[in-house]
Amino acid sequence: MVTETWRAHRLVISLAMARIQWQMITVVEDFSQRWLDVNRQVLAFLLATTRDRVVAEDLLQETAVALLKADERYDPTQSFLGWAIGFAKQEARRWWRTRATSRQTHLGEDTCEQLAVLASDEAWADTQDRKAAALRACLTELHGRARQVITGHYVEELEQEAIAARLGMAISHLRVVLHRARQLLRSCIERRLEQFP
Amino acid sequence: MTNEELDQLALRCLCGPLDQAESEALDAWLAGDAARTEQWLSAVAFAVALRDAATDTALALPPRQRRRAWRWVPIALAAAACLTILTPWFAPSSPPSPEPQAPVIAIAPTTGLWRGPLTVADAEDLVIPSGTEIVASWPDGTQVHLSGPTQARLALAQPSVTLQAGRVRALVAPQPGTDWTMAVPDGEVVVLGTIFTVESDAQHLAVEVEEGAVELRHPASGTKTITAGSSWRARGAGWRPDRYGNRARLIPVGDGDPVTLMIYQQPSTGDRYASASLSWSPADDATVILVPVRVRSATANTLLVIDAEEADGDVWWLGEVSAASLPIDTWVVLAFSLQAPRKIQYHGGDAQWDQTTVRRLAFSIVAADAVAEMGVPISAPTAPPEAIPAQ
Repeated sequence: MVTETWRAHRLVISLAMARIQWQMITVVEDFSQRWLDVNRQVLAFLLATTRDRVVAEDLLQETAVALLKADERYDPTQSFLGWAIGFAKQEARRWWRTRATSRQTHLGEDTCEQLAVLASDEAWADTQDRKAAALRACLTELHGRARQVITGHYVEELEQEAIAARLGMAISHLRVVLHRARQLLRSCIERRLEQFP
Repeated sequence: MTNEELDQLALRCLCGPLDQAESEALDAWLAGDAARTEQWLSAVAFAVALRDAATDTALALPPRQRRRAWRWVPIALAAAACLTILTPWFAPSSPPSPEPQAPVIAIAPTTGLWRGPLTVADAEDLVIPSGTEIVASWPDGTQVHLSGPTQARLALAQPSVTLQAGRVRALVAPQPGTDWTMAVPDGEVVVLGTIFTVESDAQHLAVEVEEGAVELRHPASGTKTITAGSSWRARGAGWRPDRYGNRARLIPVGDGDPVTLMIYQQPSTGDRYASASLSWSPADDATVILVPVRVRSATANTLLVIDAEEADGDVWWLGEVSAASLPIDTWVVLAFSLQAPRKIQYHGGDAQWDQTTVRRLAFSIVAADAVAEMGVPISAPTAPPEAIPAQ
């Protein structure tokens, strides 16, 4: 009898645990998906405010932690992008405070607010997402030195001198190639967005 | 500021901090102007998108091989015409019949330095270094573009390509009465007449179909047909070694295998080291949580910290992963088992205990400096963690 009661207890506990586990899995998966959907916009906002990739990526991760901790408070009827940008803005402000004694300047409050409002705008973010998708296709149309110059700058993150030396061209020429490559990509993006609105 | 100048500043931000003069010039130009602020944010968003897209497509082969070949067509036709005209004058009256040529896979480098073979007669393992791209052509017209870093075995027989790791784009000629297959880690891709790309490394497997269709057979996908314009990705497929050379398996979504997880030991700051190795009894059932993390920076102070909350509410620090020890721009999938009561063996530092009951596992991403503030005893490990046997 005792054994049966104990088994029943164990079954109830196991079912309860399974339910909790399932809920937790769902919560983490939901959060991961939501975060992956917006993290590029959040990174752009942080980069535009801090102007430093390393700092922006550190703040991006701290924003992710803060968002995860506050996930229970998130209202799914509201924009997650706006919610995330709000947390990112707090992280950026905290970072500024640590640099209050630094000689380095930082953005004014108005500009920061404008950046946050714009980055939170779902329509603006949607346009950026579509541009990013078009950009992927446009990159495949880039060949030769233009492609090498883009790869050197944006993938390998090399100094201009290193890229110029590798390709055997003057830095002034390299800048022209980079400028034209970006122009080409922008035109291609616009064309694709017109074709596939 | 012109768009070009903004693009240049955004690129500078991606590579490092703006200097004071640049930052001041930008502040002065922005000056709370809404339209200029949008221009600046758009330039930064473009730079981020370009970096992501360029990174993802850096290994893709541009279709210039065929274009270049066309440039030589008039010359080749002219040369052929000359030979046709001159041959009767120089050729013997009854030329010997040509030796039958054995079929080979022809290899031509398109980018970078290639020191490997130019033909493969039967089967050969190739290592394509980073920055090098080659195209392998089968006698039936099938072309496979391999972009380094890639390790693959090419063969005349099936499977024609065995991809160990890397990126391969295949343009497969129609295969009447047979299937053209590509072996990938733990699975295979069966071609149903198509152009497709397969990318595989220790963390993920991705199949993208441009034309036609392929059938993917993989433990993480089952048998799945992928049609033109669609793709399939598995995160956590495959194996990767930890720093001691042990094989740690990252478990794909939906995998019902018992959990085996190695959290990588790594240096944190200076001479302080923290290590953790976490394992579950293979006999236990497992409920798996997969946490995808995209490594975006290799800063030394970025850690992934794993906490476990015990039944009595105490939270223990279990381990950490340094983003600095992981490849940039790759997906890392951390798997956690949540079933309780759970026997956990913890190795590393000064502490070792087991039979703790874990109620909850949480992850957080913090700076290394914060680890010291967590009150966690950190000391140099005296020995590497025990190897976790491969499943």
